Amino acid sequence: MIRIKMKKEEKIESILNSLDGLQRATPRPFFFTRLEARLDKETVSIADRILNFIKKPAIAFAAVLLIIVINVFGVVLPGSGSETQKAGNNVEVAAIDQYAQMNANPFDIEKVNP
Amino acid sequence: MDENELIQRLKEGDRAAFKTIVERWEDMVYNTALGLLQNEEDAEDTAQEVFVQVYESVGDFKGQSKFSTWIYRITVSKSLDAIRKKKRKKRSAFLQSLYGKNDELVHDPPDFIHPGIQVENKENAAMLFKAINRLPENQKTALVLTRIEKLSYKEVSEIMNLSVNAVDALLQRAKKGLRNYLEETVI
Repeated sequence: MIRIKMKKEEKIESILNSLDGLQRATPRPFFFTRLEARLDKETVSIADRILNFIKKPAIAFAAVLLIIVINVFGVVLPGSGSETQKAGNNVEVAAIDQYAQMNANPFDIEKVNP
Repeated sequence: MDENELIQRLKEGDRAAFKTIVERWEDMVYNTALGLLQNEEDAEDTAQEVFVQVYESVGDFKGQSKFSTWIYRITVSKSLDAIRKKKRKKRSAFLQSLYGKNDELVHDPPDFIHPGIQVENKENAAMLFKAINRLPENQKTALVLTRIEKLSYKEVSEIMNLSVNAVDALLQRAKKGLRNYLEETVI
C-alpha cells in the first residue's frame, strides 16, 4: 500500500516537473506574410464597410434628398442674403466695372470708333 | 535598430519597422498564446490579432513600461478572450446538441502536446497541460508566464499588474490545484 502511494507520488512529481527543459515554440514560417495579408484585408474591410454604409438605399435616398433641399433653398431664396453679403456683391460689381474702364483700349475690336 | 527608434517609426506607420518588431517578438507572443490556448491554430490566430493591435494602437504606448511588457499584456488579454469565446461556443454547441438543433457531437479536444517538450516528457506534459487548463485564469496566466515563458516573478508582476507577493501566492495556489487534480486522476 505504502509502495503504491509512493509510486503515485513519484508519478505526480514527474508530471509536475515535465515542463523542465521546455523549448520555446515558434510560429510556422512566413508568419509576417500571413499577418500582413490579414492587416491589408482588415484595412480593406473597413473601406468596404464605409462603402456598404453609403450604398444603403436609406442613406443614398437621404443624401439625394439633402442635395435637393439645398438646391431648392438656393433657388427659392436667392435674395435672402444678409446686408453685408449684398454690400459685398455691390463692391465686387463696381470693381469689375472699374477694371473694364481702365482696360478700355482704342484698338479694341468691338470699338469701331475709339 | 534601437527599440525606441523602432517604436517611433512604427508610430509613423513604417511597415519595415513593423516587420522588424514582429520578427523580434513573434516567438514570445506565439509561445505565450500557445501555452494559454493549448492549440496551435488558435495560438497563430491570436498572435496575429496581437500584432494587428500593436500596429493599430502603438500610439497609446507611452513608454511607462517596457515594450515587451506591453506586448505581453496584449497577448495575455487576447488569449484569455479567445479562451472565453471558445468556451461560450462549446457551451452553446452542447446546448444545441441537447435540444437536437445540432447533430454534431461535442468532442473534448485531443491532448495538447507542446512542440517544445522533450520527447521523454511528452506523456507527462500532456497530463500537466490538461490540469493547467482547469486552473482559474489568473493562476493559469502566472504559471504559463513563469514555466513556459520562463519569466521572473518580477516580470510577471509587471505584466499582471500585481505585487511580487501576489504572484507568488497565485503560483502556490496553482501548484496546489494541480497537485489535487493529479491526485484524483493519476492511478
